Amino acid sequence: MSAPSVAGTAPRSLPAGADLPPGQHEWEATFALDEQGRPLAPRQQNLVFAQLVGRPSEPAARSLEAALHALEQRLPYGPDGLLSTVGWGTAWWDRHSAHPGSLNPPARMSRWEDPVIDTPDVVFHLASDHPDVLDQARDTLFGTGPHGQGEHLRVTEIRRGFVGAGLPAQALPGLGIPERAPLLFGFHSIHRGNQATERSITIAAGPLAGGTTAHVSRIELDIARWQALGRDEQAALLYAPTVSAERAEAFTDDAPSDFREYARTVREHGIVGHAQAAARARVGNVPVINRRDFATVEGGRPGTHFVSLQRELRDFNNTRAIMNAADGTDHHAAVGARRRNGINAFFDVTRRATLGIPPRALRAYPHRGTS
Amino acid sequence: MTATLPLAARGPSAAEPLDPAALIVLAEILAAPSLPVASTDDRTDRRSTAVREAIDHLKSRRLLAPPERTTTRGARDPAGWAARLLAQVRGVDDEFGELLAPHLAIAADLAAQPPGAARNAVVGGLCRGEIHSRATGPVRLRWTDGRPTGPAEPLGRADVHFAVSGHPGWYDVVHVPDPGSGIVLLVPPHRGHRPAWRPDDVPFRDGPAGARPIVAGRRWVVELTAVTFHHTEILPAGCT
Repeated sequence: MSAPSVAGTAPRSLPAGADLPPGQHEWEATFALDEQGRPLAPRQQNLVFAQLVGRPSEPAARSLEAALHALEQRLPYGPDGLLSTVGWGTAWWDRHSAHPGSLNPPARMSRWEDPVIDTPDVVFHLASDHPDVLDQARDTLFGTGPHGQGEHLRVTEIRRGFVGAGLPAQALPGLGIPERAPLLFGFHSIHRGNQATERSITIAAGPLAGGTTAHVSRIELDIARWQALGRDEQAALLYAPTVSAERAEAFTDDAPSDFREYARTVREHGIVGHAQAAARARVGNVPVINRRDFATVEGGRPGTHFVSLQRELRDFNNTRAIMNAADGTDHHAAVGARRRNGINAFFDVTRRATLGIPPRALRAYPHRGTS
Repeated sequence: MTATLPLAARGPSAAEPLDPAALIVLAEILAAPSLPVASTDDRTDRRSTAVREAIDHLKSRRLLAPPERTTTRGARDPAGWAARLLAQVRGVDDEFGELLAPHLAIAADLAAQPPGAARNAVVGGLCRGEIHSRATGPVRLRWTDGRPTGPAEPLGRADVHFAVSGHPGWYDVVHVPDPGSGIVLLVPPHRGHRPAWRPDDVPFRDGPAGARPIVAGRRWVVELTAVTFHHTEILPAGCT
């Protein structure tokens, strides 16, 4: 699934063996930028869900840390090489850590959704521009070589996907997804200013100090019906009814959608714009979540693996609740919970999980309990 | 997104219970439903997906709530309200109108009834957006202690078997008449011990109710066991 590079600048990866940032989630300094200065996430990404085999132990922790360290010694740190996080789920924190209750489990987050609630022990997020690097990393961690974790961890699921110009159109040809679009909805949605900064999502104190939290969802998207809309209709639903497709395509720093004018816009147009509604969750117009989502066509069901990082899980919950725009119905008779309400009619969340991502120094079996 | 909406929606009037914009949206939903929720198993039947979303839309917007008791509208005319609303919905989709006809008849009937505990409870539910229907076909009803619950013993338990037009999951409450006593039992179809639903032309199978294919327009059979009822969930004979 290769695609021509559109980078304005190449990835700024750190060389193999370099000193790495203390936060596992600190990826963005390595990203390439496109011609308009927008950050470019690694094009190929995996989420590897695993569960413990037996009880966690000191040798298991040493073995995992050694495996991750070996990868870092071998591969550059960045999209040219490998970026990773190791996040620990509610099963880990509640059953095996010295800090049970540190992490809230996920929950149903809209009136229409009915997701499976995943409670994994651990999820590895692996990202690279190169699919063979992901293969290497998975083989190192879960293969039969000297660093294989099979004695301690059993892989339960691998979710695979992509993000980047050209990849969605290649994955779903014939649907009219714009050739340069990085995601299945056909627009750039990651800009410099619409992401929480890595610094702002870093936890200051407690068991996850120096780390962050993650919410991982599997979302199915009705791409065929979405792509049947006109580009301006898409822009209206994805951003705001006052935003044309041409304007949306030129967004670089942010997707300014006049969220303060949300109620008036809905009243006048009978349409809720997704970004306009969601931007109401910002604090002082600063976003509170950092998106690491990527597209997928696994199982013949196009969608998104939505990975959101935030200092507190409630930052995600608040953003999602506000994004739902349940109040849109108050402003216009044409707006429903899903209908004419952002992208609500075009997606369904089928799985949810929450993770605590410790700092790099604690990434292997963090705060393992003694019992 | 196929229709052009008026810039500002007009409120409902006595002549038009449903806002014109609401009707446009209803037509949109029935023509092109949203992505179905994975766990509903609606993927097998697009019409079912559309009906579920249309009902949810009407419910969330409380568009089928009975008319208020106000003097500003002049004389109360619940039956006229129901007829006009039904005509509006049928104008969009005749089959969908048929599905809602029992709900509108119930709402109109009860709105015209004098106040009473059971009647008020039902009207309250309707005003909160509940969608009701009526059982069709033969009903089997067995009270565990041999008689219906009443004010003296407000909680009772019964096994109930009935059929309803359309998927039972679309409705909050089904009105089930007891052929013996004339009372009407207000039955949430999801209540009781392991509620079982099946299309009436498909035999019962083991497994969860949601695992069966949903096909719009079918009659469904509902079997509920050990359902607990409060006495306000029974409408006395002659109430509807």
